Amino acid sequence: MLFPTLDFAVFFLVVFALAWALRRMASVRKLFLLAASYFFYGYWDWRFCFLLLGASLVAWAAGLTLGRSNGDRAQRAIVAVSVGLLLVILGVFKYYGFFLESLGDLLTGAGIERDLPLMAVILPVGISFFSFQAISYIVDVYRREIAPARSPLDLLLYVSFFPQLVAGPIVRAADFMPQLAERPRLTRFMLAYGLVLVLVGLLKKMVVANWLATHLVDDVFLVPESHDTPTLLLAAYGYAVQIYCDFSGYSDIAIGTAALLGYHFRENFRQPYRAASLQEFWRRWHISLSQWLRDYLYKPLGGSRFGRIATYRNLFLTMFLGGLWHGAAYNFVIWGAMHGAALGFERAVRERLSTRPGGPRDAAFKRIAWAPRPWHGHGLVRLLAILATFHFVTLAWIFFRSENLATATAYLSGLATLSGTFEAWTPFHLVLVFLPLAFHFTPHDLDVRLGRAIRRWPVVALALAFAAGLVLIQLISPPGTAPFIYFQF
Amino acid sequence: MLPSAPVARPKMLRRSPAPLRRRRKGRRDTAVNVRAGLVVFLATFAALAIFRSGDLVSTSYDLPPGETSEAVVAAAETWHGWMEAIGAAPLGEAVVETVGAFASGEIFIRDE
Repeated sequence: MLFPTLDFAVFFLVVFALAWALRRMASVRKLFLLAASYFFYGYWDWRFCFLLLGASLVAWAAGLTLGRSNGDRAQRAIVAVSVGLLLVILGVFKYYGFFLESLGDLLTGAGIERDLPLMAVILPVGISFFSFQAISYIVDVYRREIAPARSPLDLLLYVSFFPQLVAGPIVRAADFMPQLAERPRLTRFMLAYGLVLVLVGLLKKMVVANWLATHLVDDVFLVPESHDTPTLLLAAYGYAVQIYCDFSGYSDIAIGTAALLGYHFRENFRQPYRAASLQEFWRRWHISLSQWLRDYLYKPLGGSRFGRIATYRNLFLTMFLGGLWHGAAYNFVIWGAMHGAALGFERAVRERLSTRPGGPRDAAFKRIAWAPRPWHGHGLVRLLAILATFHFVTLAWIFFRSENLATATAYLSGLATLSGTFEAWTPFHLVLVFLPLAFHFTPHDLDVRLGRAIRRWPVVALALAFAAGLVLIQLISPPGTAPFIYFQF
Repeated sequence: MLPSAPVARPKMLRRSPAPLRRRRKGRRDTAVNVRAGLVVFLATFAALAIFRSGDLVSTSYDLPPGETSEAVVAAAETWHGWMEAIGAAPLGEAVVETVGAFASGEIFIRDE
């Protein structure tokens, strides 16, 4: 079930009304939300509900066993087996086809042609997200950051809660499960803030992302050879904006619908294109995944504890595996490797320039690389750093978006020819590309401020404003419903 | 009969009235806000039905064939007819056309 559809609107209306009608019966409410989440997930393919249930039960059983066992060796074995099982399930669904194709190519290259058993494996929607949540629960219980859930109900609901089920944000058990123990409340601010986020998310997805996809990006990336440099450049900028609006739009709707049901999720995007360094970019982009990779991959690999070389290796490996997670294809691997290498390079430059941690050079570097306001401190240097970071990220997106390596190479060759006209730079495209970028330089908590501002409005005014906003979004969006980009991951 | 001293209630059973009031108010507020939310959603459905009545017709055509579906299609068409008559549906279509013209650049081409 996609968020911007009539099906979801009717589904959410029913869930909203019944969930709040059951607010005094905690267990019944949770059971109802669980059933609604499985219905939401099963709407694509009901068979995958068993996969979701299986992953949740593995995490629940692992948590319980961890709570009962004392020895560190036994606990490590439980974590290894349960996390390994979840990763095997994820791996089979995500990489089976890629593995067989690569093996076939390898055998053909060696002159041995074999008919490999070809079995079409459909990738269940959101498998990565619920697997990551299940893994984070097991590791957090092992690290004693949270107590194991006694009842499977809480854990099943944590893994499958429909607002974040298919494309995140990846919610931590320590954040969400305590909320299940409290009686839910809907304050006027939560209502107003939730409505604002739903509208903003729909505007980003249905209007900006969908228009950019259908009117510019898809055509250019399909045949980059037949487009000139200015068009390729605009489409690259366009894709940077499209993927941001598509993914952050989904997160906004997820956070908004959760708020309307009385639950709080942390923000997942914080104006990423105003980052002045890649480190800052990854603190602003898909924050829940960046933190997940940091806590469950980078730190277990050793983090920055074992010297410079090991730190660069760990940074590279984390981003490389992060790229591979997006898909079993060389373009995702290159995208991850580019980010990993650049993060390592950025860190090396920083260490080279600021020889003394905490010294004046170090402090200046920090002000440029992570400033609370866009023009804070070294204005011009930070502006140049923002532009450099944005262009590096956009360059990496070309690999991410291209169907294959050949298309990406053709795209870059086309960019390098430096010829053509600016015909594609129409007012419509300029508005779609540069207006969302301009919004990156407004206060980052604009949605919260808007929520606070409208919470005192009378109900009729709130209803009229939301209805008018939604009708307008419907009217100005292109026809059809495109799936969210991150559904495929 | 000996006069007995008033017995103080054990401390644990005493409840400060302020948190209780706050909790009751919170419950009342939640109920009020849920009702407000329902009003917002129903108003949005009504607005969509008014300005996007054409979509209702096309959605009704996607229903599985049957007597009920035919009745729904007939109702949707009647509703769309009313919305066209009052000018709501054409207003929505005008907005769609204007955005389309802006997207294609036609809006900037002057008629000769």
